[in-house]
Amino acid sequence: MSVFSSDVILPCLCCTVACAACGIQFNIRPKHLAAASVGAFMSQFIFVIAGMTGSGEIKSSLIAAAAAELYSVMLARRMKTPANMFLITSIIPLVPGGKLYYAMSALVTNDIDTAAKLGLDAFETAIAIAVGIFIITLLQRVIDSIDIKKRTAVFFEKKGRSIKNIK
Amino acid sequence: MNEWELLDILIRIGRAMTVYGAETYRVEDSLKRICAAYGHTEAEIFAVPSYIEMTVICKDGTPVTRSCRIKYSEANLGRLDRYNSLSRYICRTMPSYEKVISKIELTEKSPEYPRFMMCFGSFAAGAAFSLLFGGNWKDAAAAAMISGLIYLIGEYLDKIDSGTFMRSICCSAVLTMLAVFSSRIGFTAGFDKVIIGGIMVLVPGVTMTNCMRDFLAGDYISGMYRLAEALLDAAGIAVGSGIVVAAVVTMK
Repeated sequence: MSVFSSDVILPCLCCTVACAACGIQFNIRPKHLAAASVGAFMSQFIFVIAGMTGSGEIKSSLIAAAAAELYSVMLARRMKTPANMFLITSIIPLVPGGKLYYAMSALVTNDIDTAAKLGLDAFETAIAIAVGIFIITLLQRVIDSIDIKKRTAVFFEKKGRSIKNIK
Repeated sequence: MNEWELLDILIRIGRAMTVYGAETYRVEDSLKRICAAYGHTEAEIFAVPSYIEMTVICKDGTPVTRSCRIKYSEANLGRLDRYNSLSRYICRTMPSYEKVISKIELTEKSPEYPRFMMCFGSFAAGAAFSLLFGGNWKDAAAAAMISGLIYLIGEYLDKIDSGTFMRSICCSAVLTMLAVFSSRIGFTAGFDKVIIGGIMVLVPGVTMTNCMRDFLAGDYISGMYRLAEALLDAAGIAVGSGIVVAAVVTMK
């Protein structure tokens, strides 16, 4: 199956529309909305591609969440705005809403086994998203800690000069 | 700017950022930077999603404290972005008290999307999520109309201060009823895809993301607060649609 077949592109487009619409509800400003929608498209694209190459839904969620976090952190630095602006719309489609519903519906029909399995799956997906975000945040901290600008700032501070001059 | 005025702008900015969906780390960091810009490097600031407290020391050694209780939150990332830029601006140029207050008032009046646009957002999101989770165009149409209606119901429930838990129970119960109704009159084949489309619109995205970021930044109290909020919200959604689905199953 090709990467650009409709099986891949259609979910991504759906996701982009959905996330742009969610962005409007969160009152994201128009100048950030386009970037946030692109983030949603990208995270869903990575999710689908990861699924096609054989990783399960949980692993795909992890990879897609990490990609979304990376994208939003980079863009947030660039546009000088909170990373949440781009992260939230990219994360929402990964939320296991479908599994949660089917788990609940299995629970009310007394199908405890299916409910437990789906509920646990949904929980694991949530953890995977958190871990994906965690990995990139850690990476970001490491890169920040070797940031040259910050180092010079710390150096000057030790020498007793004002940090304001460097900023 | 004297200490009283500094605390006044800090409290306004801190409260607004928390309400509009900033993570705790960002609130504390912004306020600390503003303090440092006006020369108060030893300021103590503590924030959780429902409370902020701050103390600065006057030049004669008297400590001045102010605190504020925050009772509600609404996701409004556009305003958050404006407040973020405002605090950067304050740190950079150190304007006078009057100037900052006028800027804050300007930010409070900044344009939002109009109401029909918000409603349309819910409408489109419902349709698109329903398609994403494998529904056909009929499911999508039903989900869109139901989600648009749910937005209006949610708006009303917010107005009467129902709280997030009751809000999600009511919204998801109405959503499920309407979805079952649309399948009973034969418009859609089943009701599951319609319900999932609607549920995804109700998912507490901002709370969940902020919860994860709070835990990563080491703000465990805020993280637990938001985790509880997100779990209660999710449980509310499940309970609301669970009651209706159970009723439908028993009636069969």
